[in-house]
Amino acid sequence: MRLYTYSLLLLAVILSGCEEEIDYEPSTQNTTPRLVVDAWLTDLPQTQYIYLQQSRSVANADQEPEPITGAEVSLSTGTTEVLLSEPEPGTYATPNDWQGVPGTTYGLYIFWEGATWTAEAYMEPAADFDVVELLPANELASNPDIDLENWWGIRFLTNQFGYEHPSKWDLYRIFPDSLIATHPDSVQEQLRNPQPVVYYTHPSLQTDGLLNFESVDNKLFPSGTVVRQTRYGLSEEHYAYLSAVLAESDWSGGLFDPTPGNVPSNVTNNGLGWFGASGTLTKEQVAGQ
Amino acid sequence: MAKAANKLHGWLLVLMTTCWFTGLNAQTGDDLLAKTVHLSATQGTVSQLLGELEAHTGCTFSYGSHVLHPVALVAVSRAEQTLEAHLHDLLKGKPVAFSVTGNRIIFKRSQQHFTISGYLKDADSGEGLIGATIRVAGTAKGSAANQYGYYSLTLVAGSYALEIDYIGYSPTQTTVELTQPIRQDFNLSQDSRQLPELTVTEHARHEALSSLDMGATRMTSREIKALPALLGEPDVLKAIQAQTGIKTVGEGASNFYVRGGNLDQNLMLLDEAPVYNPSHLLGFVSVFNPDAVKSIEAYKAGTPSTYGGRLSSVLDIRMKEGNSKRWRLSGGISPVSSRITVEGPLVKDRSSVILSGRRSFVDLITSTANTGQDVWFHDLTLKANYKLNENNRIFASGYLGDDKFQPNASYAVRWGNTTGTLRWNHLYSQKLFSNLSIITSQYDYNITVPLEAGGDFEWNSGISDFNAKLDFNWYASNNLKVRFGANSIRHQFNLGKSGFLADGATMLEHAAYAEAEQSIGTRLKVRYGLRASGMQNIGAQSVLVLNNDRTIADTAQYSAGETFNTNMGLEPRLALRFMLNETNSLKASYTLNRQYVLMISNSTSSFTAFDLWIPAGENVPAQFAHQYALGWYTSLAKTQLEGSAEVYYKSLHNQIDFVDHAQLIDNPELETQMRVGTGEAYGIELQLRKTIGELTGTASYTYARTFRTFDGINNGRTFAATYDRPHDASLLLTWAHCPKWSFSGFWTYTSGRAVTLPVQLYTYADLTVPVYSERNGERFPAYHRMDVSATLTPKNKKNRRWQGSWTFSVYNAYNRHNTFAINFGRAVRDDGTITDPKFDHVRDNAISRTYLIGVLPSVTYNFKF
Repeated sequence: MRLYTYSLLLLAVILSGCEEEIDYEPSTQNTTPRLVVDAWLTDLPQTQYIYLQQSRSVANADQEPEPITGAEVSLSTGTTEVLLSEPEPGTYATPNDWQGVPGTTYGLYIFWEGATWTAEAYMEPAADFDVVELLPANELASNPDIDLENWWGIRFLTNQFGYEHPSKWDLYRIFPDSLIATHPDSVQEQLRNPQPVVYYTHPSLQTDGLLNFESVDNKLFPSGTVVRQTRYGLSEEHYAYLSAVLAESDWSGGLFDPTPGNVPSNVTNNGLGWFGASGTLTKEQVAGQ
Repeated sequence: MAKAANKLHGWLLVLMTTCWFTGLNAQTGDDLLAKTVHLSATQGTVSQLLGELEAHTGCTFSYGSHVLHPVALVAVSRAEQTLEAHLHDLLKGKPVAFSVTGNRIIFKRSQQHFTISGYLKDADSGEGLIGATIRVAGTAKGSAANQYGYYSLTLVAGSYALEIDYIGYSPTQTTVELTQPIRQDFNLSQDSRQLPELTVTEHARHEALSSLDMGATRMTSREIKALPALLGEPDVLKAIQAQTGIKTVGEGASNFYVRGGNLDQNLMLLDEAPVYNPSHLLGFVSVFNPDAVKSIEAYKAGTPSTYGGRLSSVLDIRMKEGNSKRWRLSGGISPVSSRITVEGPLVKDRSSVILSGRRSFVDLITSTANTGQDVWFHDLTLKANYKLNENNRIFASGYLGDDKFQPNASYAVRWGNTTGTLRWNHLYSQKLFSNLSIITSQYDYNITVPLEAGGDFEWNSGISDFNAKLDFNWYASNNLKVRFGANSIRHQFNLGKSGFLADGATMLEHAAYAEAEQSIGTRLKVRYGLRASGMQNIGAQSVLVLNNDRTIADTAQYSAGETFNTNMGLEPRLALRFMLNETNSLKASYTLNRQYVLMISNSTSSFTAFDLWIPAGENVPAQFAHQYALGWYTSLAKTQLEGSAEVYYKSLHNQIDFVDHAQLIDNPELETQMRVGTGEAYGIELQLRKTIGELTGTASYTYARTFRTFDGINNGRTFAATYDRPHDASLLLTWAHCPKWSFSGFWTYTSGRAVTLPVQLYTYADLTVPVYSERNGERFPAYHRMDVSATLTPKNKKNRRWQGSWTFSVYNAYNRHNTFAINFGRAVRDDGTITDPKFDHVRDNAISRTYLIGVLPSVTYNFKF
């Protein structure tokens, strides 16, 4: 038994290692802030937001990003142009009646403190898809203490490979009112405002992130739950940016890290970030029906 | 003109007169030698017996005391026989010949040479001892056993005292009468009382000074087991990584860098078969089972011409042949794995076999714990040999290893090496040894990822080789040894199910070489050789035609069997040794190496998982490297210390690297993301060794740099390679005060590796994205740790065959948190622990470091029966 305990410890050492906070000061002092664009337009009938911020020194890693306020931000299609408002510092919003059209190329124009940044994005239509399969809970879990009849679940992984087109996905579970009413207050808020599970499908294996890939959705839900799934189309360039961002953030620190490198950007004038646009396709299904 | 003709006539007259008198004298000499002489005694001193012969025949003997000592005792077989027979008896076994001129008989040193040859073997197992030496006592004349234990020593006829030495064995002396060719094997016994380092004779110590090898390391399995080991698992590659100029990839890794070369530039041979992935358990354990390994030779400079195909180093690992005298069982158990070896004679002293296997424990635990994890390895090593007759021997050996790494249900990685070697040793004569080898090697790699859409995503890659190789050792004289040979390899690459180069590729690689090792005088020794190598890509294959900026211009199709892209080159090799005096020598070497098989990897970490072997081709040129090295070696007899200092410079050409975030797997246009560039490396390596006494050890320090330059990477600016670690120091001490206990300690310090770290950050979709300024412009903190171990070998009871030993070791004894990775944008909980940014946390965007192994104790039990 001692050997077993020791070997489990060994396995823990081998497979997960240990992580601890450190102070870090780069030897290269190149900290002139740069403009960062965080913009992802969709064809969803809702206000679209573009976030502008300044990059920050790595020495100030735990500080909040400094928003860029007072910038002149507009979107154009070549024939039309709209000016964005700034409802919050650094957040620029499209007019209420603006809606993206898949297959359209959009231009972004930013003027701030005498300098100009531009970017272009093609709104990639989302391809059709089959909805995720809802499985009876007793096929996903076995717990003799809980009656799993009329409960459902989804078996999928955060990152999946071998798809013809790369896509971003949102997946919501909208719970029936009866469930909310019977749950304690602390849980009700979560159930009323469910956060989407965001995940990606990839055309090929992303080896650098492999160790970070995990099964995230083994939560079970009752009959009557609405499962809403949205697919976002990604252009080739947009996907290259996203996979580079994932490699440099979510997927970094694993056992198989690739050589680090700067993620690309489609923002001119030494800007950072990405101006992207995606067509969407949403499908819903109800558990138990 | 007339004057010249007269002079010629005069010389001819002198020559003819000399010949006539010589003939006359020969006639007279025959008569003299045929005289029958009766001696008063059959024994006496040289001067007594020769004096009596002079008195009876009227001849006079002429000789110096360095030829025949007057008071040396001699004997004749019979009192009455011819003068000639008496002289033969007197001179028997002595390197002395005689000639007759008139009544004068002149004794001279004989120039007749004879060869003594055979095998130098372990007395207990009968295995050949690679590199064991045999030499004439008190002289530098000698020979070293080759890779099969064979030696050949040619000497002037005479009587000789021979010394046979090998590190870790008790030296032995023997006397031979070399008056005819002799075939004789010698057996050496292991010195079981002491650790291997302790049994080092003066001659063995002298070997480091006098040999031509630079940057070479020889180790035996016994030495490896004496070192402190991670988790008590004795490991061949970890032991090699403790040598100067060899840098580990990272904590716990099996792979290594040598003098600024890449990982794939090390040729690792297991009984001549290349091993393409030396890692078990992602590198924590190497694939070479120490119980099945007989010896290891590592070359990082001055590589002999017999080796080729890699730019930076050769690691030649030879498997044990098996005990040809008795059946033995041995094994060990450590926290990682258990191992067992059985060996013995199939036909005593003629044929033996060894079978050795290892199996990890980890999967037994994880499957029991129902964690969804499945991590294991196992390997099997088999070798057999059969002595057909004195001149022919055959060997068959093989290795089979398999690994699975499945940390959770979302993916699994499997890889494995398989090798096989068939060898035929043949002696054409005492001086000409040959070996014919047929070698296969296969490396397979597989990733399986279950898909949401059903089924699995599978990616397979690998390489398989078929190699025919013929080598000759010609022992021309004691001052000249010649090696020559040739080989041809067929490489078959599996590049993934939809990877570039149309799923697979075939390449032929050929080489021929000749090399001489020559002593010039007593001080200078030279090894000069030339290796000619070449490659050919073979269809069917679809190859991208690239523009200068590596964008695709076209695709070229080659039909099945079609040869294209032939590439050839010469590889001169030179090594010099000059003895300054008995305790100091200077060495120099130059090596040009070429490499036609390359590995691409997307990982900068210690672990080799997503590596892909590819052939050189039209878009990936063959690599080559020049290396110049200069060394000073010294032996300080009074202090029992040996010292060495080596400097080197290496230039590397046609190196490959990738643009940022290149997609290596399943990318049909991978070559567009490669960049071709150059590299350089230089350094100085200092080492001090104490090899005699209770306390032995090695202290070493290396200062080394290595850089790379690529168009399209780092804006074309030269940058430090990730394994550029300027300072590297280590200290290894072993103390064997008594036979029961021995202690070892190892401390190592290395500059942190060069890494690319961000100077700025920004936030995108709640992710923290780094901004870099320079590739490998920063460094991790320095790496250092100390390991200690103690080995208890209980005294054996008489007649008890079971022998066991316990090794208690502590890895990273002072719990240094050596940086494995630095991570940005981590989240921190209240208790200060790091969590994934996606999950519960109280503070974002902390900077953290990952370290793999803290203090780690272990216990290992080894046994022999």
